[in-house]
Amino acid sequence: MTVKPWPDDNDIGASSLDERYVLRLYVAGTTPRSASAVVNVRKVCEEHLAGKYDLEVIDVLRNPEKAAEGQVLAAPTLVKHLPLPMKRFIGDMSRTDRLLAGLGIRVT
Amino acid sequence: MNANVDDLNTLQNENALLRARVEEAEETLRAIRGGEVDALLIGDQVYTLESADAASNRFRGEVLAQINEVVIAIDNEERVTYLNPAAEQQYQVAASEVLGHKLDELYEHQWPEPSSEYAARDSIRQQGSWRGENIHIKRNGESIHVESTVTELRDRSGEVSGLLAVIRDISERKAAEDALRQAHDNLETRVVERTIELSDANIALLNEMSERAAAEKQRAELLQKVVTSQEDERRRIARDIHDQLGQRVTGIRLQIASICDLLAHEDLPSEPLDNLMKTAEQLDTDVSFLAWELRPASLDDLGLVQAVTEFTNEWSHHYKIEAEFITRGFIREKLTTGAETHFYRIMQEALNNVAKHANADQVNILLEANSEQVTMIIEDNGVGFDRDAQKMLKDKKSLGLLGMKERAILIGGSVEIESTPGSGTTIYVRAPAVAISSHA
Repeated sequence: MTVKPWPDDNDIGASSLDERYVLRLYVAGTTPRSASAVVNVRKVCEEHLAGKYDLEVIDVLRNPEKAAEGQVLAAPTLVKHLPLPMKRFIGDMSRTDRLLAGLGIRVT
Repeated sequence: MNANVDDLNTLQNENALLRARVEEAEETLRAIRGGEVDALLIGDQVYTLESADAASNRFRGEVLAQINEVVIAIDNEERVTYLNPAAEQQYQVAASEVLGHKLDELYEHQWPEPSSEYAARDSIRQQGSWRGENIHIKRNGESIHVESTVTELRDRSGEVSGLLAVIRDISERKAAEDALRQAHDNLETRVVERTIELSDANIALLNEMSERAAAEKQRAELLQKVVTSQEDERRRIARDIHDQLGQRVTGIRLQIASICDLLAHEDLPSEPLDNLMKTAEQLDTDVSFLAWELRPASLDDLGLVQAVTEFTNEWSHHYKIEAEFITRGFIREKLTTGAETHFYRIMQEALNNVAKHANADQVNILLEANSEQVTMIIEDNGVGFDRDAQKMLKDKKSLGLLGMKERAILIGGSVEIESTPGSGTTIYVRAPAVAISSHA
């Protein structure tokens, strides 16, 4: 059986390295805010970063060691590794305007 | 000096980093205080927090209540906003992979009919929920039959914020239903086939029965013809013997008598003539007996009772066996002429058997009739025979017995024989009586 691949998350097209977004989202299973965070981050990425982002969703309940590596204190936490500077966002990312501003995305 | 400047820069940088870390820590604390996080991570320990959000609690309560079922929530853009462990297991995915993706990335729908999907959407729009069955095709291509209950989700302001689906895999039930339906169909088919087979067999049997009945009828008709022509032939021969041979023998006897008269006063030995006379007389008697035995004229002219009376007298005299004939309630009209002949011939055959085999000295013949039946009973006090001998007789030897039975069948009657060794033999002949109207 062939398993269909997920369509995005590694949606890096012909964009230059400068514009590349590398994001990690740390969540605690499907707890309400974690679930919201995943939904909200994926939505923002698809709508504003199409073709130039790499999103890794990490479930800290399943991979606590990855949370420790990333020095994450709470879930949900979104970490922007690129473009520099590195930046963290905490919460369910429901305030899209703040998230966009923090990611340095200008909404046209 | 330069070293001092470097040190200062380093310190400033470290200061900036620390400040950033402190800001982050403060941010984190604010988020925790504000109830914006679900879990705290200290080292590699994860501590999940109870949300203070009542709506979330209610949502989770509903989910927990149905934790054995697959639960999936989507928002208005059909993005997956929640799925429970049962869903992760059923669709072989991790929640973190699926959340935020469109639902059709998790599985595709297959509806029984295109209209079913519209009906489901209408039901949700109008009644706020839908319950029904369809097929989900998983990411690995596998399809499962599911029964889903889909209800609208509303946010705090009462606006529809998405849908909540509770899904049960009913593939096994469907397979069992299909198997049952298949078995039922097979059974129906087999019943139909079997019914056709039975019907065919029945038709074949009916055909065979009708063929057999036709053959029986033909055989009976043939037998009737044989018996009738036999009787006709006997009647003709009997008449010829009586009219021609009998007349001539009587003539010879009379001529011998006149010769005897002429030579009476001559002194001649009378013995040869006397012997000739006796022989002629005997011949005359024998010829008469032969003609009568072949076909007694009385049977045609005077009926069964007279014919049987004559026959038994003659037979008794001839074989030196006492014979008594009694009738009870019998009149000529009870039997047709043909049936009378059959009764007569059966009686004749029975008495011939007595003469040949029974070694009896007494025979009783009873002929009786009631409104329905004519019965003739012929009993002797002879040696009798046992059942095996009777069977043997029936099987091959005695054409006489077979002939008796066939004659009885021709008139719709029967012949029964009772016998035990040493206790004689009794023969019962029964046939339906001719209906006689009361005013006749």
